Amino acid sequence: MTTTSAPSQPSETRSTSRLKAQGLSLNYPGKAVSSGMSLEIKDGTFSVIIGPNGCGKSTLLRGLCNLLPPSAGHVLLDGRDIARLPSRELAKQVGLLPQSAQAPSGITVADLVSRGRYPHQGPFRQYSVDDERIVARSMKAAGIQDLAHQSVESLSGGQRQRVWVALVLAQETPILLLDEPTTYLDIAHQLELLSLLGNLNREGGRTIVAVLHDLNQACRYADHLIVMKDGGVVTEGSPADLMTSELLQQVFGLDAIIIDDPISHTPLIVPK
Amino acid sequence: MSASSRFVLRWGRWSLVCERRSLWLNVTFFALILLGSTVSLMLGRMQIGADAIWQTLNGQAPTRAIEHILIDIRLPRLLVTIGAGAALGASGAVFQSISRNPLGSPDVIGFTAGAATGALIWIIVFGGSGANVVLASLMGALLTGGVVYFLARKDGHVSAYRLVLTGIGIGAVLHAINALLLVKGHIDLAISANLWLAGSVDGRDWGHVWPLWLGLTVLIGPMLIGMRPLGWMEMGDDLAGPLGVPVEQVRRWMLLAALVLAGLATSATGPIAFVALAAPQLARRLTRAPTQPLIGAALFGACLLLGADLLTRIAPFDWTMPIGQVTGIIGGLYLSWLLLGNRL
Repeated sequence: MTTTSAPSQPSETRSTSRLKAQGLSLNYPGKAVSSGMSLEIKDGTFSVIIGPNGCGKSTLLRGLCNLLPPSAGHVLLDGRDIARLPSRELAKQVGLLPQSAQAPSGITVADLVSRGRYPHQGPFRQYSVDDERIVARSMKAAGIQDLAHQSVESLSGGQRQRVWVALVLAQETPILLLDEPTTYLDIAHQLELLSLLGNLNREGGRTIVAVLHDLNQACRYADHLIVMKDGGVVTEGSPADLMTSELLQQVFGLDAIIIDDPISHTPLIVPK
Repeated sequence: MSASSRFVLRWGRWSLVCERRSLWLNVTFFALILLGSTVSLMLGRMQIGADAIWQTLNGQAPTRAIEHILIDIRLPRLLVTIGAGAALGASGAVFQSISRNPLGSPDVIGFTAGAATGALIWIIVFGGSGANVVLASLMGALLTGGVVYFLARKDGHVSAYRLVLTGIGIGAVLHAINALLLVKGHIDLAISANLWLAGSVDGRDWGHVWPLWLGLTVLIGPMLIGMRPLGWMEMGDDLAGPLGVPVEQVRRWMLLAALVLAGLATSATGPIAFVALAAPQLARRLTRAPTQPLIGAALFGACLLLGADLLTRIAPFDWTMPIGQVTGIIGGLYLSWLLLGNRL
C-alpha cells in the first residue's frame, strides 16, 4: 500500500467513509456558524449528532448535502467535491429530510412519496415501473402502505412524519441525513420512528445521520455519536465510550449522572 | 381524491403522468375556446355566417369584403385575445407557484405597471406609436422584472415573501410615475396613452399577433418542463434542493419566461387586469391538482379573455367597452369574494 491512496479506493479496514467534510466553514449571512470543521461519516453506521441549541447541528446537515454551500473547505463524496457534482447525481447518493416541508394541498400519500423519485426521473421519464415498485416498497418500509390513497392533510402528525420518511426512502440514497425527525411526535411515535431508522440502517445497509435532541434516545439508537458545541465537533465515538458526566457538564452545562439502561444496556442520563 | 385521479402513459423508457380531471377540463376549455372563436368571428356590424367563415378559412371567401373583415380585422383580434389570455394565464400560474401565494400575479407584483411605464414613456416622451409601443412596453416589463428580482435577492437567493413585497413596492412607484407622465405629458399624447392604458383588443392587426404567438409557441414547451420542478419547490427549497432540483436556476428561468409572456400580452393589449390573477387560481381549484396546472391556466385564461371580449361586444352599449376595464371589474369582485370567503 502506498501512503497516497485516493479516498475513493476501498481501504482494508471496515470503517470507510464515502462522505467527508474537510476544513468546512459554514456561514449564514452575517453569522459564522462553524469554521474549519473536519468530519468523516462512517459507512453503514447510524450516527447521531447531539449538542445544545444553536450549535450548528442543522447547519452541518445542510452543508453535508450542499443545501448550504460552504464559505471555505469542502464536502467530499467518494473524493469528489459535492459543490461540483450535478445536483441530480448528488441527490442519488445523499438524501435529506429537512425540519420543515410543506405538503401541497390535496396531495395523496402515494403521490407525495413518489416525489422522492425526482433524481431518478426526467421531463419525459416521469414515472417508470421501477419508480412505482420503489414507491410501494418505501411506503411498506415506513408502514404507511394502507394510507396510500388518503390525503396527507387527513393524517395525524406521526403518520405524516412517516410519509416524509417514506419520501426520502424512495429517493434510494445510500446516505440519509435527517434533521430532528422526531420533533412534534409523541414518545411512542418517536421510538417507533427511531426503530424504523435503526432497521433501515441494519437491514437496508444505509448510512444514517440524524440530529436528535433526546440524549437517551441518541445513546440507545446510535452506534456513533457526534457531539457538537459552538459550531465545532467536541468529540465523537460510540455512546458507551463517550458519555461521561464531565462531557455533559462541558457541552450542555448539565449536572447529571450516567447509569446503565436496564433494557438496552446503553448509557442512560439522569439529571441531578 | 382517489388513486385513479392520475394515470401514467408509458412507452418504452418514456413515461408521462396525466391528471385525469385536468385532461377533461382542458378538453372542455378547448371546446369552449373553439365555440367562442366562432361566435367572435361571426359577431360585428356585419354578421357573417359560420359557412362563410369556413369557406374563408379554406381560402375561398364568398366576397372580398368578407375576406377583408375576417382576415384583416376579426381574426387578428381573436388571436390577440386568445393569445393574451393564454399568456397571462400561464404567466400567472408560474408567478403563483414561485411566490406560493394566490396574490402572486404579474399585476400585483408590479410587472404590468412596468409594461405600462415603458409604453407611456414611449408614447408621451418620444411621441411614438404603433408597433414600437409593443417593444417599449416589453422593455418596461423586463426592466421592472429585473429590478424586482435583484432587489428581492438576498444572500444569493430569492424568497417568495420578498418577491411579493418588493414587487408591490416597485409597482406603487411605477403607478405614481405613470400618473405623473399622464399629467405632465402633452394632452393629445396623454389621451392616446390613456387609451392604451385602458387595455383593449380593438383594432389589433397581424403586427400584434406575431410577437405574442411566437413567444407563446417558443416558451410554452420549456415552461411545461420547468413546471415540474416548480411543483417540487412548492414543498420548500430545503426539500427540493436535496432531491436534485436546481432551485435558483429553475426560479430564475421560469420567472424570466413568465415575465416575457406577461410583457408580450400587455404590450399587445395594454394592461388587462385579473386574468393572470384569477385564471391559475380557478384552474387549480377546478382541476384539484396538487401542482399548478400550466396548460389549464393558459386555456382558462384564454377562455376568460375571450368571454370578456364577447361580453363587451354584445353588451347593450353603442360604444365598445375596453376589455381591460371589464376584466378589472370582474377581478375586483373576485378578489372581494376570495377575501370574504376567507380563502386566502
